[in-house]
Parts: sequence; C-alpha cells; structure tokens
Amino acid sequence: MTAEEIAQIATWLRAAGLDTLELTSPQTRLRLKLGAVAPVKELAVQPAAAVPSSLDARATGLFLPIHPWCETPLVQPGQRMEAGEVAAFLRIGPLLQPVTAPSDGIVGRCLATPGKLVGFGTKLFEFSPEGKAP
Amino acid sequence: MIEILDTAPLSSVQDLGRAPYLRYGVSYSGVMDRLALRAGNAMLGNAEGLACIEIQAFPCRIRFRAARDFALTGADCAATLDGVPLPPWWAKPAREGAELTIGAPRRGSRAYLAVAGGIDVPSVLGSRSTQFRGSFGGHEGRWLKAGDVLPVGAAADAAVQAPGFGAEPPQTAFPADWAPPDLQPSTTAVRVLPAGEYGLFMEESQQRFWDTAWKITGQSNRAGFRLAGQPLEFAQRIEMRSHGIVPGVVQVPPSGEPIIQLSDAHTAGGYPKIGTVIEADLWRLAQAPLGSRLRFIPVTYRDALDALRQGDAWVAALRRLAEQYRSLCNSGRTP
Repeated sequence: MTAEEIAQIATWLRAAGLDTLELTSPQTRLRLKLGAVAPVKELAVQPAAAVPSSLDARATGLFLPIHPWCETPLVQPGQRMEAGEVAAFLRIGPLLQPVTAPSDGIVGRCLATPGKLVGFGTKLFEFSPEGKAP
Repeated sequence: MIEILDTAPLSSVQDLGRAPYLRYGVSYSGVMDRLALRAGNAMLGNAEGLACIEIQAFPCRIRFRAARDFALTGADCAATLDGVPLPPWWAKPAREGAELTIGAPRRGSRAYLAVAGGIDVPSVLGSRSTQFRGSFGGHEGRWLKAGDVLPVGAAADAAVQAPGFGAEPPQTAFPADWAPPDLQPSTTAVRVLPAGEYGLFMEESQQRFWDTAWKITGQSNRAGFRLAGQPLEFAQRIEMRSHGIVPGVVQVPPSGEPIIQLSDAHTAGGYPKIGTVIEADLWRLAQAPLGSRLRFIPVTYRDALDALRQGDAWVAALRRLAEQYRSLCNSGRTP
C-alpha cells in the first residue's frame, strides 16, 4: 500500500463522515485516525493468502447488488463468473464502483445487506475460485 | 477516431451550446440533457464542455478505430460493447476496433456518448454543437450518418481501467420528491416558474396549467415540445412583439396548447409565455419520451437556483470521486 493510497482512503473516510479505520490484510495493517496521532504496533508479516474465498468490499460505500435501474441482481448464487466480472456495486456519493471477481469462480450466497453501508473489507459474497469445491 | 456504423438521422455532435451568441440570433443548440453530458465528461476527466454524440434514435452502432475510454449516459439503453452488456451510466475502456451497440431505451429517450478527449470537430462560434438551421458546427453542420468518421481529442491523465465504473443515474439521485403523490405512470414532473404573461390567462386556465397532465405530441423534437391538452384561454386577446426566449420557455400560441422551446428553438418569439421550465429540470424534459405526459409543478426562484446548485455539486462530486477512482486503479492495485 502506497502513501498515496493511504491519503486516498483518508479522503474517503472524511467524505463518509468517519474518523477511524482499521484495515488488516495478509501484507498490511493500517490504522487511520483523522485529526490525531494513532499509536503504531509492529505486526509480524504473515504469509500471503491464496485467492480469497469471499468477494470483499474494497471501499466504504452503499452495497448495491442490484443496479438502481434494474430489478434483478447482477449475479445469482451458484453463478459462474470470469475474473474481472462485476458482481455488485458500491455507491460512494454519485459514483458506482464495481465489485469484481478476483479470478474465475463460482459466486455463492450474498453476505451483506443490500442498500446498507459497508466498510473496507466487509465480506459481500461467498466465492469459490475455479477448481475448488464450493 | 470513431466511426458511425449505423444510425438513424437523429444523432449529432453536441456540446453545451452557444449561449453567448443567443443575443445575436444564433440558436443555443447543444445537448438536450446537459447533466448527462457533464456527468460523462466528469467520469472521463474531460473538461466539462467537450463535445459528445447525442443519440435520439436506436439502435446506433459505433466502432472505435483506436482504443479509447468512453462514457455512456442519459437514457437506459440496452448497450453492449463487443457483445458484453454495459450497465447504464457507465465509463469503460474500448479496445481498438471495439463495437458499441446502443439499443432502444428502456427508460428515457436520449443517450450520450462521451469519449476521453471529446469529439474533436472544429469549434464554430465558440462551440462544437451542430447548428441545424445554419448548417454549421458539429460534423459538417448535419445529422450523423453511417460511414462518418469523427476525430477525438487528446485524452487527459488517468485512463479508465476495465471493467470501468458507473454513476448513479440522476433519476434516482434526484427523485422528483416535490411532485404530487398522485402522479400517473408515464408522467414526468418538471418545476416551472410563472413567466411574463402568466397573469394574462384566465384564472381557470392558470389552475389547469398546473393541475393537468400535458401530452408530448409527435410534433416534438430538439427545437421544442408541442403539448396536447384542453386549450388554455387568455383573459383578453394579446398581440406581442417578438422578444428573446431561452430553452425551457413555455409559450401558448393562439391554439391554446403550450409549446416548450428547447435547444434548437429560435432565439426570439412572440407568443405569450405562461411559464419557464427551470434549467435544473431540462434534463427531465430531454428524457421524457414522445407520447408521455408532463406535469408542471410551481417553484420559487430561490428553489430553482437551489436545484441548479444541487446539480452542479453532484457533477463536481462525481468528477472528484471518478478522478480518485481512476488514479487508484492506475496505481496498480485492484481497488
């Protein structure tokens, strides 16, 4: 994660009216606190995980599995997806950011509430990368 | 460059029009749905006034002769890029040779294709809009046809990465929550300021102007919408000299059935004006299909200005967030 991306996340945080964010991934641990100095603890680097078994939110926004102009969700449980295909949207102000499949695979149950605010890292769908049992 | 493969003669190159020349008798021209063009340009990082293709008849097929980012906004069309369905109000990169098909709208009536760098036809009198009365501007001063090849300008900064991103359509971002709850289906509500001659109509006609739905007849186009309904009556006969008019003005000719003057209207007219559709709601008119109905909702000047500012703030937020998202995607990390 670059300094530029962290600045980006801080901007989104402020735009969303939030003041704290904690983010943990296999490579990174990030704690942002707007307007204060947050204590930083050393974190042991963990080995990189394989392709995740869920589709996660990559931003803070409203979870929209259905486009505002459509009646049906973009994907149904059990549907096969190709890498990069759009499974849902996160609405951030007027922007609709796509939630995409990281690899070919089968999408499972929806794990988040449609229309609700989700945070960075929230699990949105079960997802079985191609070649693995669901 | 982009090539028109197939279109009915109702697509044209348009930008935000020639407002400064209105006083010299040059029609406004420009897109009917300014919000759709401004949003498309904002998504791509284009300057707000770059030209796009306005599409009013479907299907329309376009080929990208070179790779180029584009945004398709406006009506909810069944659009596909190389056969892959495109969500409404979506920005995406097109590869060299990609074919974009824009199908009949499921809602709305005009689609807008913006490309990174804009459609780079020569600017005439400060605008790239097609001016049909004078046959200048746009692409050779005329409607587009199959075989036309249009130049595109130099694209700015960060490119759009597949699968692209979208904008919330203004129909959901700006619901007509000021419209009466008894609005019938296929009826578009627009806010209207009473205009100069409002007081010259019979009181009953004034009331009926607000209370009834007016049908958009087939004699409606970019120049204006002719409406059908029970004729409005004047309290007394009036003769007026021609005077300047702007898009959105609702005139009442002697027949008593209103006409809304729009992008390609004459710059002056002599019919009495009963009202003016506020600038912030002109996009709602642009997306109202022929045969559907309009309801006029009275609004104060202050609320009209507020609505305009809301639209401006929405476009500015979209531009800012799209810029952030594009640069994040280009930083090499999957967002």
